[in-house]
Amino acid sequence: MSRTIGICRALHAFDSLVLWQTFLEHLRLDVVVSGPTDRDMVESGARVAPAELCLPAKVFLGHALALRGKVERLFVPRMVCWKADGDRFYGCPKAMALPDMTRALVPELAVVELCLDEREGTEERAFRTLARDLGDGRAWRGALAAAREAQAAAEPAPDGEPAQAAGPRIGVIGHSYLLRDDALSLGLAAKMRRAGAVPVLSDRVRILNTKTPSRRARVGGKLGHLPISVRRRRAQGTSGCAMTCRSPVDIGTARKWGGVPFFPNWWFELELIDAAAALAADPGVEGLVLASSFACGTSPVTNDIIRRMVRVRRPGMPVMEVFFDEHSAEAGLVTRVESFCDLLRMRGPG
Amino acid sequence: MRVAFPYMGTIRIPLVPILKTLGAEAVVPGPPDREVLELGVRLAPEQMCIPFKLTLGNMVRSLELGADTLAYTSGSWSCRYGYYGRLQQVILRDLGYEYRLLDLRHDRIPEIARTVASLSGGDWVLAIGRLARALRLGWHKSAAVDESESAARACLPFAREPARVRRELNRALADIEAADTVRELEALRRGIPARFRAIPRDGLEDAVRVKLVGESYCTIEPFVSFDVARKLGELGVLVDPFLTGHRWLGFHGFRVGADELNRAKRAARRYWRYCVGGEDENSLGHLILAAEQGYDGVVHLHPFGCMPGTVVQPAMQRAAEDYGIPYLALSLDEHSSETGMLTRLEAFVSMMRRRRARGLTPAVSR
Repeated sequence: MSRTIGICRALHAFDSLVLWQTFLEHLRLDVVVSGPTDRDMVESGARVAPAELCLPAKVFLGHALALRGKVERLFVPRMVCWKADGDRFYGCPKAMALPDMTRALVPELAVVELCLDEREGTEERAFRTLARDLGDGRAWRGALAAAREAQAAAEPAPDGEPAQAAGPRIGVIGHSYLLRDDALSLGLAAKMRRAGAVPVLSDRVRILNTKTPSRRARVGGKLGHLPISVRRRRAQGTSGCAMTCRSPVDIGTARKWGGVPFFPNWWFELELIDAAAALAADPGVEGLVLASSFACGTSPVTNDIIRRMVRVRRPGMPVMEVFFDEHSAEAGLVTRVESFCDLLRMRGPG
Repeated sequence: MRVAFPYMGTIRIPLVPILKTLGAEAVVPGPPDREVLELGVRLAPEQMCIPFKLTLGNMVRSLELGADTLAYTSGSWSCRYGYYGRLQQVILRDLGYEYRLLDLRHDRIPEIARTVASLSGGDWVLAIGRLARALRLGWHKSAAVDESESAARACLPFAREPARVRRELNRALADIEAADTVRELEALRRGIPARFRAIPRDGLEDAVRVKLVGESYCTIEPFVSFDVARKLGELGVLVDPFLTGHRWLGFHGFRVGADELNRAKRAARRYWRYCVGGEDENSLGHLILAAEQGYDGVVHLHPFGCMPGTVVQPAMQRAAEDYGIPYLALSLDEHSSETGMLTRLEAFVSMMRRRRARGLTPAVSR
């Protein structure tokens, strides 16, 4: 069997690409990462996918289709369950069913999955199973250590304080696979800058939710599938959530916050609520933009929670919701961004 | 305590006597209608799924009728259904309604038990006796409802006057609601087959058979799907839903029918390794089982934007192709149109009839 394996540069690859890629390379595989998203991928993905799927998942399929003929096998993560703070946290159903959906829609590629489910076993076990499925059951330990090291080294620097940038600072809340992929979010951040605002993206927010490390945190010091903000907080030495796959926010503390009506058990939404809370607490931030995809199942709940939290913690702060799908048009987005910025400017700071 | 609960289809028929026997008062607003839907749509986040909007509308109605406690099955998993109770609570609180949320989940069993005991004045022995009686009565009612509905479904495609089947079913349901004891219910249940046998038939003996699968609310609550089961029946189709109110209570409330769930799970395994909710695994498994049992087609219902319902579709499509069984997925929300739906159903039915006339049955049963 050929030793080629593909990774889609979509969805959670925006958080964990280096980890996966290094791991697979250490198993002596030829890893091909699909190129940055282009319009063809968006369109081909939207063509094969069910119409009601969210844009990032459609684009994931577009990446998979683009890898046909280039690789024999395709690496697809399955994000199922994490345990934290005595509770269970889940990926969204789309992240949980991604390998099955890819198998059904791209039958030409043999899908190899990394199944992260702490109900069944640790992350280490998941990587061991992946290595075994790839025919190299013994090399996993070294490969995983190297992969974690590489991921730690590749952490992006936190967005520094904006150096006397003019214009209102606006928090942009959204998943990195949407905000960091310009083909999906149509260059939202750049459009905001052009409209004279300073966007602060949620995945690089300087999180305010810091506290002393919990018992859980002292157990390990490894890095893995953590959203970037958490890994960075760990690097700053402030996070209580240092273990692999540990929570994006310190759930125990966060649950005591005022204004958050309830915490959903969606792993990847906690980060958004956490970032929104931090941004709402920052008097320098004048408005929030909640960016999500049309037909994203979790965002109606998360956005509602964030709006309520803002209403309590920062009454009167303007919040705008933006949805993206494959039909989104740039002109409409520019208009909305400009009018939101105008609104903030007219209100003035504070 | 005046308790209200979200309900679908005829599930209120067994639930009301359960609550009454326990010593609570059940507040049951009428079945959902346009007005409830509009209310729910106005109050809910725009992109929430249709069961959320309808149950929210119905909750407002229940509170207007004086309910002080809302009982919800709830949980924390990846489907939005797990958050219905809590999200509706914050929405209803904003509107100024005050009530108690009784979260029916496994980790709240002590609280639920205390509530049940308090209904009997804190007398645990009395409460346990009442609970046993309530569940027995409820279960029999639920079984009687299920038997009537399935007899009606079996009779509808062949009936000379479809309206008579509907009338007979309504009468049977009213009798079941009125029955107070298990003995009465048993007598009623014995009489059900004869009641529907008495309806004159039109002489047609051959009907195409359709398996109805999909998300539970859409499958069980006729208002959302414009009563798809009845529409198909009136088009001369024998409809066999894999989920009914009774079976839903059995699977999720009483944990019975594990064998059947496992059979569906095993059948689905090749295409679907993880159940993510929305009856995805069951729907897929029953599509394959239906193909093996020689059904003529599968109709899949799900709310628009339902996460599990959407992701399972490609796998169902693939399985339907592999097993050679026609598959129709219908996505439902507040903008669904009855006419559009009927057109699609008619086209699907005539396609199944043509396949059957040409001797095309699902590949496996050939």
